[in-house]
Amino acid sequence: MKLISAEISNFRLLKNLKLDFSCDKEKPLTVIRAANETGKTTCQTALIWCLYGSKALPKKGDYSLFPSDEKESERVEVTVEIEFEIEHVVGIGRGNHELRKSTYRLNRTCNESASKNGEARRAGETQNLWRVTPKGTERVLQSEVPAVIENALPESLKDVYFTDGDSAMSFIEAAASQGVKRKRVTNAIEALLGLNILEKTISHLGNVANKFSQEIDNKDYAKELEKLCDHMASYEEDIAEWTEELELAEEQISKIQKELATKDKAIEDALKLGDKEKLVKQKQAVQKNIQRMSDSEKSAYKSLRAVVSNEKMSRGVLAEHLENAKTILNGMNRSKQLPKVNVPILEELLDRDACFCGSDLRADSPDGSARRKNISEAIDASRESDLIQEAASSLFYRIRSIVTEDSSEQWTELYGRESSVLINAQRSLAGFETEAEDIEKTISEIDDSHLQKLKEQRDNLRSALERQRGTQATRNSQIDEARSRLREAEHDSDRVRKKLGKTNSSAGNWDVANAAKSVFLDVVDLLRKEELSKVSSEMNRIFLSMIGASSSNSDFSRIRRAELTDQFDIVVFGPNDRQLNPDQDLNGASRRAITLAFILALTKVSQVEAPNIIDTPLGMMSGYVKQSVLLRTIEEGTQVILFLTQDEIRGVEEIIDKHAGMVFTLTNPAHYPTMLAHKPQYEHTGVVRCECNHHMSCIVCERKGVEVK
Amino acid sequence: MSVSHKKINGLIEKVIEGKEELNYDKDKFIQLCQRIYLIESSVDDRSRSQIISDIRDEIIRRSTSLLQE
Repeated sequence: MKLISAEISNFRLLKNLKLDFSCDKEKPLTVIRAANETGKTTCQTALIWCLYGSKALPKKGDYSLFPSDEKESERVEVTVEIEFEIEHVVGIGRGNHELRKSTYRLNRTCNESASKNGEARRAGETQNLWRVTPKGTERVLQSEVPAVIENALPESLKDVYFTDGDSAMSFIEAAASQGVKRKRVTNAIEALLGLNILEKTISHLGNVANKFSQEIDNKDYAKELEKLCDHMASYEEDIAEWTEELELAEEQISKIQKELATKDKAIEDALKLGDKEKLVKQKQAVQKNIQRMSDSEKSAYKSLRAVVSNEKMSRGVLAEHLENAKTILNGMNRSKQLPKVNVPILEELLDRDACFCGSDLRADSPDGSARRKNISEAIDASRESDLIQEAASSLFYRIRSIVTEDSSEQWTELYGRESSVLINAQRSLAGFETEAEDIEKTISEIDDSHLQKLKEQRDNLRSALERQRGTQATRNSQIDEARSRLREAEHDSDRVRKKLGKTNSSAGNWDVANAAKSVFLDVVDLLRKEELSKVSSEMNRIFLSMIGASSSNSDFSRIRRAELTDQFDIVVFGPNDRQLNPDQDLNGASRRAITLAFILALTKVSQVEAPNIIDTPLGMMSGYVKQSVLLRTIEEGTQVILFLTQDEIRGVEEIIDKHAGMVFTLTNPAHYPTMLAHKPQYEHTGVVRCECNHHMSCIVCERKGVEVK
Repeated sequence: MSVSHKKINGLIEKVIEGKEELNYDKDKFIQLCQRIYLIESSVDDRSRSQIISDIRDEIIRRSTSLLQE
């Protein structure tokens, strides 16, 4: 990553400031000359805020951005914009990726106001990123912004690349516990060497290998395929055999059908001479009719008998006599002769002592006895005539309700109908009996032995045809079933073939994924061992070079070597390999130098292109160490941006002349009139930039020869 | 900015060249591992499952030619 420029607006005392950075490979140094209280640290903080937001600000974000010259009640818009170039991997479609250099413009803005007690209220913080192209700018999707920034300058490396003199010793400072220092060093190493990405790669390759592993199963598909092939061959053989039999059966059917047609024709011809069998059937039918007519005849007789014995027939026959009797009896009735009975009355008198008229009837009296004798004689005389009277009365009562009118016609009609039924039945019976006799006679005259033979042959052919048709149906069914099984087996074999192929390829892919995982494990191992050793070695070389020390025992230097241990501790050794206490045994310059040496070594070994933005790195330094630290920093870094005071610059001007691609000066107008020679021409009190280099001064930046009293 | 691709590519090459037991075409296998690192370090906004899927596809795409060697 290379910083190209930054524009800062309303960020504390940076009201409106543009910073440009050298991207020249030959002159990678940018020097921003600035006195104390001119916003050097604020510039760094502004860049950090733009990249990582409020959470990265000092005091965990509880850090006012509000410009000091603004009225408290006013709300201001704070903006920082950075333009930078990075080399990163981008997707180019269809899962393909490529390494590409791109220029981006990152903007972060917010609104902030401050109350009287100095409490800042920040709102509406937004971050936007654009890709700068020859045609203009393209807005980067918000979801991709963190990844681009993380790739450009990971937040975990913030303290590595944004360094100031005061915190430059954070990796070795004695005040921090061993655990904290170790954690800082570990984070820096892991982030800069990309161990996090590599460990994720290893984990993802493990996942990929597992997925391939799931696609492999232990089933022996080759054996299953062989079995299926055997089955298919067997089905094909069966189909061939049954098809042959089917063709034979169909041939036989065709042949039999032709023969049957011939036989049918012969039988038809024979039947023209007389069909005995048919006549027998006809005779049987006639006999059934005879039986039926015989039953009808019996029934007709029965009905006729009923007609003859019917009362209607008597009324019809006796009608005339009945009418005569009625006339006589009616006359007798009218003359009170009917009913007339004497005997019972006379017999009643014999039971009495006196008659109805009062005459004496007593048996012991002579008159009475005589009268009794007369009565008895009268009874005997009346007995015969009473019988006749009784019969006549009975006849009278019985015949007087008999209607004789039309009786003769009704009976005659009924008799005629029943007689007709009987006659018809008798006639039909006679006709059927004659027919039966005729058929019997014809049958006895026919010789049908040839026809019977033909019919037997036809029946045999029909049986044969049925058998062949049975064979045909069976074979068809078997062939259909075999074909169905064959299709199923073919389908299964395709599936097994695919499984077989997939299993093979999955096993191969699984092998490749595991091999790749093994490669990345080895890469991490190399980074942790060999590359860390290189970092340690480089750090030692740069550090000793910076402070002008040597590892030689003959040297008088108190510092002999620096080392990065396996536990990620940065340690410094003196003569006889005695470990030195950084706080007590190292001076301020050496403490800054060892930290810078570690950062530069790590950057060099990782072959990363990234800026080192260092605030007052040369403080506490002078002479050889100052020159050496600056020179080594420029040589080992890829883009070095230094905020230097005039005092720091003193003694290293020639190095700056040689290596600086960009030098300019920042001035705080608030320093007038104490330190600045000229009254500021600006209305605001924010830091201003002029293009004066480390040799120059102007109306903006010229400082007084300050003499403190 | 984390470790450069140049650095990792060099290490991948070094590790694979040192693996004598490897039966694959080494140049192709080096390319595959370097592609996997490219996928992993892409700045595109992708989920973990998408990265795994991309790596899987890359292996499937290239393993055939590796295995044929």
